[in-house]
Amino acid sequence: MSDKQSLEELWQQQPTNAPNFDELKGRFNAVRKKQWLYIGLDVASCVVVVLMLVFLPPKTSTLQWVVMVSLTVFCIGSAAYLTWLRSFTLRNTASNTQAYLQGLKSQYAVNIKIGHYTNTVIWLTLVALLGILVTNVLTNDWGIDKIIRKALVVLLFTLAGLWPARIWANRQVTKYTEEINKLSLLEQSMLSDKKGVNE
Amino acid sequence: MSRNFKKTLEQYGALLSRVASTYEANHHLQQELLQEISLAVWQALKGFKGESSEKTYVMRVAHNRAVNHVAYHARQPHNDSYCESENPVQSSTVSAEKALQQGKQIDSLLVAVRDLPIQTRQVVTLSMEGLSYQEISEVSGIKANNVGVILNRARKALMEQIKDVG
Repeated sequence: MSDKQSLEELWQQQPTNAPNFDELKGRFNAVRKKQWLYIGLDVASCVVVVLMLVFLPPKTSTLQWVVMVSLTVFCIGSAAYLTWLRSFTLRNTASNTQAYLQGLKSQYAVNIKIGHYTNTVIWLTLVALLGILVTNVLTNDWGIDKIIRKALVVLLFTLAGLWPARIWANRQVTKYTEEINKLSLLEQSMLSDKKGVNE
Repeated sequence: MSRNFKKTLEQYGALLSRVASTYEANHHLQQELLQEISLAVWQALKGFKGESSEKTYVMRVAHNRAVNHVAYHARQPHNDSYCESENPVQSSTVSAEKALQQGKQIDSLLVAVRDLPIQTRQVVTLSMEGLSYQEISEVSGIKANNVGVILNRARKALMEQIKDVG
């Protein structure tokens, strides 16, 4: 008997366990429900911003127009990217292992970029808000009460909206940088005689 | 859909279990990995266009999921204790003495396989599952000519390991 035959025979005689189909069915359905929920949320966010843009009152200022158009472009862009990402992830699982690992790395690199862009957008938004506030203070005859009220609105928006977004963005960057490092370690160990990973 | 997958699972369940045992020594994590691999195969099945054999496609998805598991656990605390499966399905009926001998050889083979670099481990286990060089190349992304070189070297190393036990 050749080495190939004896190894093959021995390998196939190892004890095996059957996958738990009922548990799998539960997981599969849960994942599908979650996917449909995400798709529904993406579509709903696009529909809402488009409707808001369509039904904007005629007296809307240029600044409000710019904000609304930017929001619409951002929502549609995000929905398109997430749809592409889902289909890419699905296709990537059936690629060969080398392509799969490269695909994962590019996916993580894009997530890191999104984290950095989000941070930049947060700072720009904060600067824009302060700029609008200062411009209004200088060009309008606002009393001290009104200035304090408007400054509080900016502060609340920053704390409630921008601060959580900044935390999320930083976590994304940290998490996916770690994932890329793990993948690089794995790629090195794939060819190395030392395992380098704890499987 | 779930009926089709149930059939697929009946056909490839043992094979998927062997993929899990290739990459994970701990019995409980192995069982969890088997579930994750099976789920990944189920999700990927609708993307199967018949460009390769179904077995090759299933193996691609299974190995990718398992390699991902290795990457995820790369910095996790490591428990290397290999637990025997609680209700293993023995492939054939053999006498007690022969079964003991064979069990030792299988354990030794598993330890030796898990000690190989991941790429070599993938190539050698795919070969032991009966895939051709071309099919192994389609799963791993290594050129078919290199598959032969890796395989010959790995087989020799594995045979030496299990001969010591036998």
